[in-house]
Amino acid sequence: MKQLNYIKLEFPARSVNEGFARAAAAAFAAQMDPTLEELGDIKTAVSEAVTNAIVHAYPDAIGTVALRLRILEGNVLEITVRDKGRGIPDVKQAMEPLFSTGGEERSGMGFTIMDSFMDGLRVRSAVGKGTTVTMSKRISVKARI
Amino acid sequence: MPKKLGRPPAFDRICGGTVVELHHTKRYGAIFSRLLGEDMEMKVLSSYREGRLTLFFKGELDHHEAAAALRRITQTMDDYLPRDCVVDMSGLTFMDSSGIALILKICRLMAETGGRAWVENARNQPLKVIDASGIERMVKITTGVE
Repeated sequence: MKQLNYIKLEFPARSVNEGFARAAAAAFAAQMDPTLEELGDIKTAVSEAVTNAIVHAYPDAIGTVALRLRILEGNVLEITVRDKGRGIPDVKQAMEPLFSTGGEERSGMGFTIMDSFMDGLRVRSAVGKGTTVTMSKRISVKARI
Repeated sequence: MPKKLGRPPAFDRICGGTVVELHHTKRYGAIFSRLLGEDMEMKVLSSYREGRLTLFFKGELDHHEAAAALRRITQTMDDYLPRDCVVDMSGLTFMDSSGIALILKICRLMAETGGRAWVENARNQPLKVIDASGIERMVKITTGVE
């Protein structure tokens, strides 16, 4: 699909940046005229993916998280969250509901919620190289009066 | 007196050219949230009456906020040793799965002392996250009305 607009952001894997990532995604998506619910879905999915990277990717250091948003033809928003951290040994297992390696502070629902709130979800990962989460959502087109 | 900054280039690009006058402060998050008309900062207010502790969640609850919130909540529970604990979500504008973990932790803490915990006034995006998680099978959830 043809790309109409995009932004790329990179920030340290610090939890304080989770809110910023959500707000930046929402600000960029606003040009698509989403409903409040769609905006909430986008913020939720970005929050989950960014938090996963912050919590899991870099256990021994503060690495970087890259967030890219693209507006594609057909009013589709594509969101990519990438890290160059330790990677996921078993992606299928990691995506199972309630599975988490993050201890009591994590619910293990992150991928379930991303899958529920977005139209498309793809996770690619390699141990020692990092993880890329790509999500997409078609934003409804409002009738113009 | 807060110091006025000039045109903020980073925020200018993010907001598509909107010129915003910023005041020098540590709380850029709060300022940016006002740009979007939402209160991002998470607050937990509490009230205690006749054995029932009510926790009022306000703002946005994510992984960053959940850790600090749990420390405050644990201290409040230790102070009051309530029989019941209610999490009131009427002021919560956003929650991700970190909020689900926090709710489950509160329920576990209450269960350890023979108490009960439940959620009231869940609505909009937080309610959607609760529905997606399926925790209503484990925790009583009541919804709010706009």
